[in-house]
Amino acid sequence: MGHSLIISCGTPSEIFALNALIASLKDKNPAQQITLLTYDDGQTAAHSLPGIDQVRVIEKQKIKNFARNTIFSSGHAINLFWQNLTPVIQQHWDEIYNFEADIVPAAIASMLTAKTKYGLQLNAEHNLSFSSNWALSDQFIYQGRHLLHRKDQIRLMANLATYAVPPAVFVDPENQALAREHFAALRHAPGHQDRRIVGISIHDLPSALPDEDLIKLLELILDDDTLLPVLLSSKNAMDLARLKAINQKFMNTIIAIQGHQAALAAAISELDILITGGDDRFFLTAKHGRVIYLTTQTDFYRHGGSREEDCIILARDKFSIELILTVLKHGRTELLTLAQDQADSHIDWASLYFPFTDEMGVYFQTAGTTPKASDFGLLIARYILGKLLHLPITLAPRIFQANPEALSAHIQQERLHILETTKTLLAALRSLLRLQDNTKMGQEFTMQLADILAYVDEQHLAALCCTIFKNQIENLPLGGKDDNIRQIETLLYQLRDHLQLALGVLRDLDDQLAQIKKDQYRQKAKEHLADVQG
Amino acid sequence: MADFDPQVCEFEIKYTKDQLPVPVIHGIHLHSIYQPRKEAESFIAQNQGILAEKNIILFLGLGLGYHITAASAALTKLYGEQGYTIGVIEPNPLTLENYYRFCNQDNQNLRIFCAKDPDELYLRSDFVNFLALGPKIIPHPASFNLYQDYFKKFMAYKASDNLTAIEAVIHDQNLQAYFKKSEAANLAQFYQQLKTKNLQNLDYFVLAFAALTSSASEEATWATR
Repeated sequence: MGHSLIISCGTPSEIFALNALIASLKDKNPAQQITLLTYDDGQTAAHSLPGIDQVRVIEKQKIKNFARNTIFSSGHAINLFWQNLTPVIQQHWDEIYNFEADIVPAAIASMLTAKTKYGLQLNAEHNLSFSSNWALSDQFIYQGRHLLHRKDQIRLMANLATYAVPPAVFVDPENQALAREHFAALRHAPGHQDRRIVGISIHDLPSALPDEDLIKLLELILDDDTLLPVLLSSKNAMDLARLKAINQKFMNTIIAIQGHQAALAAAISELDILITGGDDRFFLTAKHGRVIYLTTQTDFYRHGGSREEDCIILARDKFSIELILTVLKHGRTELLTLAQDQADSHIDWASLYFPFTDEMGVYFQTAGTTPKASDFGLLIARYILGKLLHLPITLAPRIFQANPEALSAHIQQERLHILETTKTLLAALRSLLRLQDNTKMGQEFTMQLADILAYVDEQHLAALCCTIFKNQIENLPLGGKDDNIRQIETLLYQLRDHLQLALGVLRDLDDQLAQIKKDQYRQKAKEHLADVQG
Repeated sequence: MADFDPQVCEFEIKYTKDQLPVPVIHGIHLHSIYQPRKEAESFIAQNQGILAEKNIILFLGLGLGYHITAASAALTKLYGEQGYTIGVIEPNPLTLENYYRFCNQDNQNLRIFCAKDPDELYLRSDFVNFLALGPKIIPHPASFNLYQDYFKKFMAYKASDNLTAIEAVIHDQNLQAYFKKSEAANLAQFYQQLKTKNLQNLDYFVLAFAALTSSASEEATWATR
């Protein structure tokens, strides 16, 4: 097992562009541990890159603040910088890749010990130079602080990727000509049939990029069988709308969009496959040189399971609700099999979390981030789902300790949703009673029923119960009117029971939470006092 | 200035009619002896403008935290339960001890910093980390009057650029020893000396640090040396 360090302090898009290198390194040696060293503004991007085992961050802004503000001793800045770098300094590396053309990363790369170093380094005489193994390094001549212009950096990165790993191209939207040049070079280079573009990154489609150029660019990518297209666009539905307006063709191919899920939802049905991240994370990647499709759970099932070998299911908040539908449609055994078969790969590659699975392949442990309310939402939803379907799902209270406030806020919100749904449910029951007395009251009942069914589209526990209700109604056997009314009444009462069950779970969680908070406070007060008095 | 020494400090707890505790130090009540909660609420209402400006607040003086509770409520309304941070500087450990004695509610958004000398605070990482967030400062009037010298010293603090003072803040012993070897008076001199010697070991670290923290024009100097 080797240890490689990649130093990349560039923009998030530059960090994403490391994808090919990482995939290739992993391909060559799957057991290889890869660490990425970056500045704080690249942290999110770095965490999202699959294949990275560890991310080390230099808290640049904070260090600068400490160093420049006169009320802080520079010692604090030094401490923080040292603290950031210590784990990197202590490690003996097999390979170090310095992707930067800047003195800070060069000095860092030079102070570290490694069997092989690639990229810019600083020697004892203060001279900056590229290592001789650096791809096509003779193209670059050191000319002062701004050693490389942006386009050269990108070219360098592309060249390195071509040299050290399976060919890859990094497209900078600000320099489309260069992008085209790269594509052309790739396509016409000897042995190009072996070359595949494994990651093309287009962030925030710039408004200055003319549509016709964009079309050419997309066609170039999409029409070439030797290229595996993956378009990443960081900014939301606006980009999608623009692409759509440009050419419907692209909508039926593979388009990756992250963020703004709600706006995207409207467009989902028009896509064959939607590749989406969400929550501002990039999930999409090339795994061992192949393209992985990241799709929604709904699309996945709609197409009868995985059509593609490398399909990833996007399983976020709606996951549980859709699982229920699957259970009701296909039976429980299949659900468990699906969860076991699919959840791991999803978790492994598409989320920021360690795969720590329970009976259903649910993850519990967070890696480097504090769990958010939505994470708890997922866990609780699964737990309640287990209760409703009598599945052996347990809650791991350990995770609640990581962020009791978020859990508390989440419980509060869920409770409000349940109360609101219960209110609607009671109104429906009332109108049903009136309908039984007087058949002219049918319209009122239908409206109340529609109100309940409308909750299905929301993302909370009550929606989960309503989804079951909806599915049961849809599967009601044909019968007489009275029969149907009786059955609906039974289902409504069942819905009430489900809502009560959900409330009960929230109550239990509240108790657990109160105990956790109490313990934490006592401990904290004790420690603080001991500290001050000591 | 009041004395913080528990042996000398005249500290007592009095109770309001409603049995709410009020600390009295050297005869000075830190909160109203009639309605401390109401007093705190009106104090926070007066400072509502500051709270609306920023969700990170530093109070000078803890007392028994009536104003902190009121501020938490106001900040929760403005920014949500987890959307704010309150820091408090309390010079007197006895006050802190009694705060913990009487206040049984944890507030995850609260950081209390207690040190007998304000200079000590600036040496602490947790405190400077909080200050780096750029909090708005609100003095608790009774505490501020009681510990005027302390808080004035706190406000007027300026970190020394002397290398010895910097060394004192550095945690890592190797790094501290490395700086100690130098005869430079300050970091600027240290950097100058670094430019004329052959680089080895920790020199690279300091050079990276210098380049990272320098302004753009200085950066150019580093690179074009």
